[in-house]
Amino acid sequence: MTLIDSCARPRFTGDLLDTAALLREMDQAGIQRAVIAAPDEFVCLHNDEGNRLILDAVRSHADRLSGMAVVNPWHGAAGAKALAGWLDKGLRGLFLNPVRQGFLLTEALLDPLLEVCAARGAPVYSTIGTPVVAMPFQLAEVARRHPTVTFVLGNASWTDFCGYDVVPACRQAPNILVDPSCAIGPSIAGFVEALGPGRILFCSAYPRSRHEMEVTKIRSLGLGPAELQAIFHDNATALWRLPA
Amino acid sequence: MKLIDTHTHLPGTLFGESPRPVEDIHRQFEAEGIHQAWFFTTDGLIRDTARNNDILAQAVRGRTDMFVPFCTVDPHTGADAAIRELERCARTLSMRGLKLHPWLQAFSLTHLSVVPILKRAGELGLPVLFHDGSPPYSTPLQIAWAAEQAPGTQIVLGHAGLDDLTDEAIRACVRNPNVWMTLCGPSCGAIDEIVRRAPPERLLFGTDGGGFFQNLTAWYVAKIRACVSSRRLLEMIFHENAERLLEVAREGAREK
Repeated sequence: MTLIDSCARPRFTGDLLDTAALLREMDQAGIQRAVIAAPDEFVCLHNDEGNRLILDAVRSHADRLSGMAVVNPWHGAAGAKALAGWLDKGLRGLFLNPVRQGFLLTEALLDPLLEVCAARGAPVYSTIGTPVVAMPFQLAEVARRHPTVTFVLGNASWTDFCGYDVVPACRQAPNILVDPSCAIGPSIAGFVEALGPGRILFCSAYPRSRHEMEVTKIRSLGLGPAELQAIFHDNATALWRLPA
Repeated sequence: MKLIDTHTHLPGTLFGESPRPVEDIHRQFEAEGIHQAWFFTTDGLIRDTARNNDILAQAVRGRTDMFVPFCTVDPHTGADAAIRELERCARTLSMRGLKLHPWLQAFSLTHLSVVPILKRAGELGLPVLFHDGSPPYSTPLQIAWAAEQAPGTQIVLGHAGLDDLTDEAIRACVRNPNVWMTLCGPSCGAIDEIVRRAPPERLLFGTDGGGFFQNLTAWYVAKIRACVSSRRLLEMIFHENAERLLEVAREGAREK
């Protein structure tokens, strides 16, 4: 089975994006492809610089890496224009971190970026789990407002909302997939049972978590081959429009 | 390597858990390589505090080689009543620690009865383990404030800030010599940061297992091992620090 990691973020060390370390970890865990976004240094400020690094990495390792753009919603119309440009250049989605970027998920501030994503069929990944700005029902509210955009609920809202709000929030909006990284196995088993494997998207949360641990965790849930195929591969190829 | 799990629960009905005989939990812990488990109520955190303390004490009877029982008290009953229950648990039920969950028990750390309860726990030689990492009632710095008011009491952040509040948890632990952390919940990245910055002699292992979560031990052990390469530090985290914490709490007791 080909494994795809739908959210990893290479470290930025010594003025360089350390894609070599990321690829090594992917190899050790048997992961063929990762969708990457810029590290925290570029999430709030210097978005274009971060996106340039990601695009360069994707172009250098086209067989292993795909990319998401980071754009701070506070850039307004200029940010929307920039996002469109990065998507046109080959990045495949938008990465949001409401805590670092300083906005509430439900704010209209985000709409211009989401309209760009809707127009281009680009998914939106958001870190979720931190009150008061990034909670599951807030993501569901945004997802209901933008039903043609697919959203990824980051880190299964680890920690406090993981076992409580994730499933009911996802039931409000069918256009949400769940990233199970960082969350504990019993909660993930509950997501699979309640939402179906078609809505669980394998992500590593690298470097916040470790590839091998995240792969082992999913494999140890006792799921069948078809369910694992969906979680590790099929959901990602459909979402990011990757070759099967 | 010897393993002490400093954060486990007796199953209850709070989260719809299936009832499990304590024998099963004992066998499971042994099979998972746990040598000792600090054991807390679940249902007692939301109702019938004294009754659930009795149930926990009954459950571990004859099994104290494995289980170290922690009682709970309800700060909303007032300091006097809560302290009476604490003393009953320590003296009559042989409880060895106090578990508080400000989120489930719905109290602020600044509630007037909390600091007297913590001080009395210290006098009785009982460490106090808090749920932490959850605003608005369970942030590490709120707990650290209470720890500063009760410097003779050993206080454990039961989740080391969970994940979002790791930085707070580290700062709380560095600033307050009576604050410890159980690495139950933080991601690998957060554990990396904790190991880099926090006092290594006050880091503990825990899973939140037994009650609402089962079979997590291997996962949590793997997580710690993925982040900590030093065998010496692993020994400290997996058992030595927990053993010492109980000793420090006991030595700090003014009476028992």
